[in-house]
Amino acid sequence: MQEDFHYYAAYCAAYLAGFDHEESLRIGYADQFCDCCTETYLGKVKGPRAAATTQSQPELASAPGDLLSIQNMTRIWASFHFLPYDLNATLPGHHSKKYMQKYRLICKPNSDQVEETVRIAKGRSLEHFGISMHVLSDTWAHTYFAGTPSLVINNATGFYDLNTDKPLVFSHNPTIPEDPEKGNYVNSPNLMDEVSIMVLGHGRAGHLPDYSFFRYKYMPAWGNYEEIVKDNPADYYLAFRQMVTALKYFHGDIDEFVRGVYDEVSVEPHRERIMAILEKRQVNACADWKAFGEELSGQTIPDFDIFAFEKEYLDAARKEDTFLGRFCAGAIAQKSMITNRIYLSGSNLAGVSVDAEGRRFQRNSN
Amino acid sequence: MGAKKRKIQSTLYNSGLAFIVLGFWSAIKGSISLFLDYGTLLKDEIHKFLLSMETEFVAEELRQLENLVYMVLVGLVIGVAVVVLLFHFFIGRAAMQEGKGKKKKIIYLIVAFLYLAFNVFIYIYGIVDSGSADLFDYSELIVDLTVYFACILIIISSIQLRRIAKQENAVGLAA
Repeated sequence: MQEDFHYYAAYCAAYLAGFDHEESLRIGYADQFCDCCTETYLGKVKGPRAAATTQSQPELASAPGDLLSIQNMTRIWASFHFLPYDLNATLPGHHSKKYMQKYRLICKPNSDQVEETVRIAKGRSLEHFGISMHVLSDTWAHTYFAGTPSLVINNATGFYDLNTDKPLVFSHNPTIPEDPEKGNYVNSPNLMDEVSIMVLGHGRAGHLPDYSFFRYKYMPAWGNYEEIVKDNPADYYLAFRQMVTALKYFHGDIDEFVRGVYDEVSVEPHRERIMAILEKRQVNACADWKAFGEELSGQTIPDFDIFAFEKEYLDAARKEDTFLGRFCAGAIAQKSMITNRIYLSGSNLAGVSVDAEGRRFQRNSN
Repeated sequence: MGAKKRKIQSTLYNSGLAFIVLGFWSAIKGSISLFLDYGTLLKDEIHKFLLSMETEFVAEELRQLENLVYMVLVGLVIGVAVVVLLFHFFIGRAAMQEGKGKKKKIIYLIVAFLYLAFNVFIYIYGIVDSGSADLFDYSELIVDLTVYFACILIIISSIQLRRIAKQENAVGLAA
């Protein structure tokens, strides 16, 4: 997903769940900030690099491709953007241990991991709520891809646009602006390298998973020639409803967050409006979501600014009492939880892990 | 059924592509041995042949005639290489098109089968005629076997696809 959903739609979901304007802004901001908090940025503000929630393209390009860099990539991408669905999955027939370790990182919604993601955020900061909403919503958009570089899992072919009833042809030139009207889409090239960054996550599908209007089918490498049909409008709507459910849990309106439960009470009255936004054929829905959010709250939603909380963090004596400080604490807790689970499943793809819940690297204060 | 069909189509497409690429090997292997190993021998044989003829040639004429015969023979070899390459291209391209979903006539399969049968016969005949397999260059044999494997995959995949198409038609008619 991208800024339109992670920031503005998250704001709308938080507001519908009962948070006020300022709280909803912080949740939405933290949600979107997961796509911005790189090691480079944290190095600049002298924050903890372990709290990185994404990697920039230069960081990925300069990664040496050895085991340690792959483990670092997996820790970040699997923890925040491609939450593994079933870390104990099995397949009929014989498959190598290496293959199964990667297969088990495939992301899908409604996993044990997403329940735990929401559970560990309960009672913590708004920033941590935002991080968990980012993770939750990405499980819907990034379904069937894994947060580790792997050709045998993340490669994909045979893309077909179900809206226009035409096969999709990708360009590998990232300078070409994407245009649904002209059918211009960009994806990463297939370098026939098992651990290339080109096959990290949904690179081979380009931005299709992040466009809410897309309905398409394709063949993933892990699928043994089975076709997957993706209905992004339907998935995004479920993601939104599930976000509202989780946020109501954080707000204290419901006692337990259970996967597979989608809010109807607060969302249903706005169904038509939301579906209209999701199904509109545009690569950036920020304006529409922003308008919807401002209608809901009657307040102005500022544009997302990556530097909004930087000065606060740099000037503060107690970093943990700042937005970035609380965000980093939440990010470390999330990353630790997922890395630990991957490690305990017998996989070394995310490296060795220590459970931060027990060690408490940082205190949270709301 | 859909996944199985796509898998076979992919196999057919890739086998066709491999058959075209390996066609360069088939085309040049004879030419390479001619130019590298047997080029001098061939010239010697031409020289002996011309000397054995009843007509006598002066030295300059003999040299020019030798060169002419040599060029004609080389041209023939290259011509055969081109024919082999076109042959591979015909079969491989048809396989790739059928792998992409286009309907192709069965003629290319018959040609592929005859090609395979002819080459296997040549190998077996070579062993039987010489009495042993020692004259084989095993590296050449491995590549040749790869070519034949691609050819076998083309034949099998195409037959499987046609069977599936028949079944789909039968289901369509029944519906």
